[in-house]
Amino acid sequence: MTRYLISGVPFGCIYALVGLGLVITYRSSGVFNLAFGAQAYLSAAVFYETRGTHRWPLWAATLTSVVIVGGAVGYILERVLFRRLRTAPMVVRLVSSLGLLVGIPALIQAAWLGVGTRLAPPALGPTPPDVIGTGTDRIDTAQLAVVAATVLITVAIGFMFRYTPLGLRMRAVVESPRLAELVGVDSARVSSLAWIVSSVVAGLAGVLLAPLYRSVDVFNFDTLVVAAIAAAAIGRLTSLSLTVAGGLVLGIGQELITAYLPLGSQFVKGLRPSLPFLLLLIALLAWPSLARRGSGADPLAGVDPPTATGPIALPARIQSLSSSSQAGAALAVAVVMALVLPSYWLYVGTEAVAMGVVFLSFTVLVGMSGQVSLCQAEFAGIGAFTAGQLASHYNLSVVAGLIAGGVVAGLVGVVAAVPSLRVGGIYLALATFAFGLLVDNLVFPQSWAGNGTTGIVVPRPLIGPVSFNANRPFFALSVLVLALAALLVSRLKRGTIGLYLGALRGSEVAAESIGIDVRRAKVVAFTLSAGVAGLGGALLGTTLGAVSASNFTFFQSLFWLVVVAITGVRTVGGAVAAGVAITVVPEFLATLPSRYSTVAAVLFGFGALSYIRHQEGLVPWASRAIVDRARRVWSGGGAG
Amino acid sequence: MSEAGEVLLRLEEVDAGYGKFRVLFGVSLTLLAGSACAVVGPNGAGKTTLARVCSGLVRPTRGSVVFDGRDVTSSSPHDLATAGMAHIPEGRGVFASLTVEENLVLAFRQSTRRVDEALEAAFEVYPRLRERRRQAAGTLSGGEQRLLALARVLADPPRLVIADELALGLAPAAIEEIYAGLGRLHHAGAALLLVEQRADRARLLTNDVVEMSHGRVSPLQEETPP
Repeated sequence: MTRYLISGVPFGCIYALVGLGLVITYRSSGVFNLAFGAQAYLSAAVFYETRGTHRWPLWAATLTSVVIVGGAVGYILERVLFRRLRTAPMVVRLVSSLGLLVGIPALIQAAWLGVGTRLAPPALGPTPPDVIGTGTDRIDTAQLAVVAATVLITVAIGFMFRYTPLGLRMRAVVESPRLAELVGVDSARVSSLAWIVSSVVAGLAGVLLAPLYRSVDVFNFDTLVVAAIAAAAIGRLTSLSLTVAGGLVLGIGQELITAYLPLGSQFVKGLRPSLPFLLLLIALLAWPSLARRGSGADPLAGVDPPTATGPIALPARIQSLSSSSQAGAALAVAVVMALVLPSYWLYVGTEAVAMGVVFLSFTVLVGMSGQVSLCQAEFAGIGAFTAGQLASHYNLSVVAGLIAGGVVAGLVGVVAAVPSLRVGGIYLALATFAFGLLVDNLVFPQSWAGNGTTGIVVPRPLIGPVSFNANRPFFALSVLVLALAALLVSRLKRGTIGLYLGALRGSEVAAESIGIDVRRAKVVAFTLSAGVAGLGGALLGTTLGAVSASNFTFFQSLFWLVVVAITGVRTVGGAVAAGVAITVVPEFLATLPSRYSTVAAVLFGFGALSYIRHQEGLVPWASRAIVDRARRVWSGGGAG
Repeated sequence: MSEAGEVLLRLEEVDAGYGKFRVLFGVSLTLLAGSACAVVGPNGAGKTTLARVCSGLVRPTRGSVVFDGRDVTSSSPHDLATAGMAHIPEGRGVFASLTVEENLVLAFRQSTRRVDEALEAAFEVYPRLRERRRQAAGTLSGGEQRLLALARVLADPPRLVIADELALGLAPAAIEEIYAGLGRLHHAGAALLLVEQRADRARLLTNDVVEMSHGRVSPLQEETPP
């Protein structure tokens, strides 16, 4: 028993530290800073280089990596980015921090460290760590350092908040920065300080985490963020002590699962990493009051200009003209491509088309209904695996496989819609994220689903006499599927359901007051979106010929949202463009030397910041600008 | 420091609003040091926005705000607060999650007087707050919350107090208490800018009443008796 405590507590401590950072920044600036994972990675990398490679003294390496680099990054992020986002819609804040979570590590790798895992990172204390005790009850100095640092930080932060003038100002700013200003507090400075403090804590967590895994690997920092989110949710995003407790429970719980559940089955293997998400999901569903905190609301929120719910629409005639001309142009391009492209690029094109279908699922859910889902990749995976299993076991035709993929994913979407009935906003995003991670860990590794990283084959059986094994006919089929899906979505958008979902996006209360069944509308949105994602995933799987669980991970869910947010989450054109961007850009970058393989992630990650200014997306923004310009030129010519 | 009778606050041709929504249209207003002025008008006339422009919460898109001889058009609210302007906003003007004492301490730390003395002085005026000093301000009644917001400025009267519908929705006895507090502030030398729906209560403190409607100000027309 002590053995599991000893190995579990240090992990729990680190979850707790990052969880504390999440709570502090969320309360003081309204931003759920997922980028802490990236910041922790940066500090760990700097510590690795200074202490490990260049043999700096311990204090200098720690000071540089944790306090200077960690603090500076936090300060800069708050100053140039998050300060402006305080009153932005939740999706904007979420997408920005997601973009940074993707972009910062990619930038570090491309510009400095290179890809790949750094082994044997230095620890705080002797490296390699000294071991104290013998047999199973032993602890090493790296683990001790984690525990000591966590206790110290937690006590210090708790004391600061409760008993110091700065803590009092911070708590005031947390409740209402405007009201704090009115009594003479410089809210901007206080919020900067909160970001610096929590970023330093995140950086420290990164430095402490690396020795526990014996490597500096981006993946570990992504999972760290997820566990920290769970800890913060257990602390209800307010209580520091509950957050720490949550982190510890997670760390110890994971070790106990490993110890007391029989090993061997895939299910148990998946249970260990999914414990945080299980707890997160339970926490969110058990405490719906999380999402409706009345007393904490800012009484001066009305000072800020109302957030725009979207760009003012073009006149209907021009809009339909431009969208039908867009569709026509896209189809023409597709026909030309099918005729002239070499086989490899045709394959890439097919992939782009399939991803376009997947991205349409974001148009339905995020664009139309304003709900945020962070488990779209899992829906796509369900579609792909369904199609693959049916095709290889029952030799089902490819079209039937696509439909089955969509239907099964849609049914799972009904389940995923359940949290949306209880919570909204950022909490819904977190719940879907947890749901996706559960699917990742518990379902996809099974042989009847995705068969883990080994994967399954997705054959392309005949339809009657036509073989779709060649790339050219298959490309044509994919374009047809995309066109049908696009037609469906744009019909949906203009029809009754689209109006209902639009009303939901505008205001849930107002929608309910005019007799819209909000719960049903949400379930419909999730189901349709999951179905479209499943259809796209099945198409993608059939294109690739073989898929594994690693094609559809939680990271893809996050990354895809980032990409479609850039191109345009409200329009069909934006979704199609996202499909093209996510497949073609990496193809072009593949000609670069391999150390630059993360450049695409840098582009998309930081590109996501364009979403702050252009929530309609770059594609509709650009085409609108072109239409405007053409209209000006035309009318100018007519008048002159 | 301006003497009594000198101009303390001057708004000139101010336009302001929220995003694309314009609320104030060329509003001008002058307030002398130590004087009192009431702004009355119906809902949506722009009274609250006017108060917010004065304290820096809303930045004007045109025109200027001068406080105590200094152009403060683009100053931040905390600058103005430390320069001696206290804006008690409409609705809940206290931090619900902080205790009564913390609310007071937070405000007193920003002003010059010693915190303990100020706290003592505030509790002297409103003994009820002393009883509830450890209680979260959000658990106070509406009237008590307004008293707490007043107590924040009473202990060390600033140069100007902007009170935005402090009496709104309170029982008559509580309104009396609030107005007594405002009178005390005025007596101690603070200039008052009162925002009220109706002129009758404001007249207890001042005869200088302006009316706002549709984002413009005009001197109050004498109401015809019913």
